[in-house]
Amino acid sequence: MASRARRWLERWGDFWFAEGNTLALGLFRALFAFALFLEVPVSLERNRFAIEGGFHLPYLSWIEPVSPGVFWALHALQYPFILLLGVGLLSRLSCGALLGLQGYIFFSDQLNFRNHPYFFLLLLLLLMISPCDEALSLRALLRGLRARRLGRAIACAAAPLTAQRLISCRSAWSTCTRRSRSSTRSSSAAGS
Amino acid sequence: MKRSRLAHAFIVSFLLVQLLLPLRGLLTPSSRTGEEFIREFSWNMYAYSLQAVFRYRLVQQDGTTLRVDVERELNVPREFFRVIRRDRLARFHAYLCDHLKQRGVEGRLLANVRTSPRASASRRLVQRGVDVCTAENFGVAAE
Repeated sequence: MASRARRWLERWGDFWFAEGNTLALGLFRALFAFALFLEVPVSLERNRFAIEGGFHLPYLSWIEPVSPGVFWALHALQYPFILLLGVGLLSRLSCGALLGLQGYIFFSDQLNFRNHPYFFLLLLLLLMISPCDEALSLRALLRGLRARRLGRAIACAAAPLTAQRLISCRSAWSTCTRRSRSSTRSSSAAGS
Repeated sequence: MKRSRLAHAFIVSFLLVQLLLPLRGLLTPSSRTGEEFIREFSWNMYAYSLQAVFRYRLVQQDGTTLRVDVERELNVPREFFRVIRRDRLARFHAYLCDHLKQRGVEGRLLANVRTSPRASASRRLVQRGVDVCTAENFGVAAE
């Protein structure tokens, strides 16, 4: 029984920490950065009510509605970090900053909830702990140039595939739990 | 990510959260008021039918009735349907009552809030004929 448990734990570890080429993760990082770039104006428009007064429902009571200037800044500040993430430089810092900026907007009001900003937050968390800038990145390019200058061989980037596997599991699970119905959402809220 | 206890703990926590949160919606009986359709963090990405009646009127002391157009007056966002849940309506009513009081509008605030998911029989979420500003739990009916 104990040996079976040990074998199972070894397989668990081998699965989550198997090493592989980070090229796919680098490509994912770049494309995800592009998706984030497209999302910023959408968030600016859809969450505008958060600064326009009215009823608010924050996830945590201490989160206050922000002023229009701060609201605009929370969105504008995302662009430089999205660029850094896209080119693969200071990726961990960029993911952390984007997590903070987007997280504040997301959690400031329960009425804000949409699935794909939540999905983006999870991806940012996973990319933050992953070697996403090991390949297809400015960092990899600079490392290659430095190695060439020093006359060293350029090694292919190989790293644990943990983040990729977590992203795959999460995507598969959300596909399983997603419901699809043909009817459309409707409501009647006319005063009488 | 290096193989370590912390890494294992993170992986297990992440998977548990991602598995458990969507289960709330899947395990909720479909006979409920439709609140199960608007479960956040459950990857409910679908089109659904939810008929909702969300009407408020103020009966003043002289007997006149005023319509309260909550969406326009309070700048409730287009996702206002997320408010139509028993665990959130009371807070919305508290805000609404405070807003009317600040405007100096007095009277009995009556609410007609009903939902009917997928064209089923509608269920009332707020007690009929009570002033929501003075009623227990701001007039929100228990399940």
